[in-house]
Amino acid sequence: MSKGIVIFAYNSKLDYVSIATIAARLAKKQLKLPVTLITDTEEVDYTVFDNVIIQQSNSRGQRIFKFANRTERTVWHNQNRSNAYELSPYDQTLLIDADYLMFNNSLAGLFDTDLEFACYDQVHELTGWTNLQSSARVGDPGIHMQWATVVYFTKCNLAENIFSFMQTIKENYSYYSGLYNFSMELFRNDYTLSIALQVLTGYSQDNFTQIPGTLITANTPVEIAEVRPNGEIVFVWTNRDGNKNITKVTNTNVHIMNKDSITNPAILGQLEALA
Amino acid sequence: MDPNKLKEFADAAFDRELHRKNIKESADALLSVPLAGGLFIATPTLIAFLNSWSDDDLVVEDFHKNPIKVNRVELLIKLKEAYQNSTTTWCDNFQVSNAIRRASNV
Repeated sequence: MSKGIVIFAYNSKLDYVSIATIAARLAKKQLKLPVTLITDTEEVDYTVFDNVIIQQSNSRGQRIFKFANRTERTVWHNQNRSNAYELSPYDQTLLIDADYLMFNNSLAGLFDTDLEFACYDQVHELTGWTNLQSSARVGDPGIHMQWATVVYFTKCNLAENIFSFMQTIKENYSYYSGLYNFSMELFRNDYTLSIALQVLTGYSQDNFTQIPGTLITANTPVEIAEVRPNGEIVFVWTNRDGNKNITKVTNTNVHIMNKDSITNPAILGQLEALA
Repeated sequence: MDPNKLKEFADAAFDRELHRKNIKESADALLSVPLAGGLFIATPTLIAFLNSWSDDDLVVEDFHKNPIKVNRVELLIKLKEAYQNSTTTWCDNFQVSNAIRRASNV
């Protein structure tokens, strides 16, 4: 059984390929598995990626990033994710977002289970805010959100059906937006995944398998202040009351939502030193 | 530390309770143990249960509520290792947390 990691990265205003390169280096170091990059550019560090699949992004969504001091709209290519099943060259795949940074090997155990498909259903926000988890429903009243940031799957009927149905939902996003009562403004893989899982497991919200623990997340207003050689990442952010806060985690897998912060050359350099 | 960061850090507040929640969450991620196709969480309850059992083989419910036939000793060893790793990590980071009196110590 072949095992590996798959990352999608399409450059827009943000250099996602550079972010994916760091994510790949960290993931390889922790899990000791090959990494495949799916992108639309050939300007890739081939020493990092074991496979590079060039595939044009088939759509251009927009994403709104709410930083500490401004809001920004940027082109966001996130709609190819449902092709992961057919594009992955591995029997067992860990599909991660380009901005999911691994500092420990806690996900390695997934490859030694009989699981066919698993993802996180809980988020932990480093800020102590609970926005992501409390609003983590697809639509109103909606269904529980399943997070597409980290997805483990094997080549099996269940996973094939889930990704195939995600593709169907993507192609009929307007219909599902009406059916589940969510805004169409933003295309979200989390939504297509959540709906596909709910429908394909008997319209239940408890019939599928979660990754144990929580998806530890640094929200968009959270900046990386420093990455230290001992694996500590220091985060700073400003609360709604205007007070600046600071915290840190050590050797922890984190989903970094502030892309500005992660593409800062100083921070990229510090991350590279750890990878 | 980068001198430019000093002011940024000095201006910030450090919430110890929040930091402790974060390090606990981080340590809990290390408690998973795969065996015989199942995925188990290293809890004191499961470790104590396996310690109390005498047979070599038994069926244990895993994290996903699946019955998994396991070798008791093999699972026990792996669970103890994961538990020790997780709690040691938690304890180390907790002690670091205790030593932080202001943001510039972070």
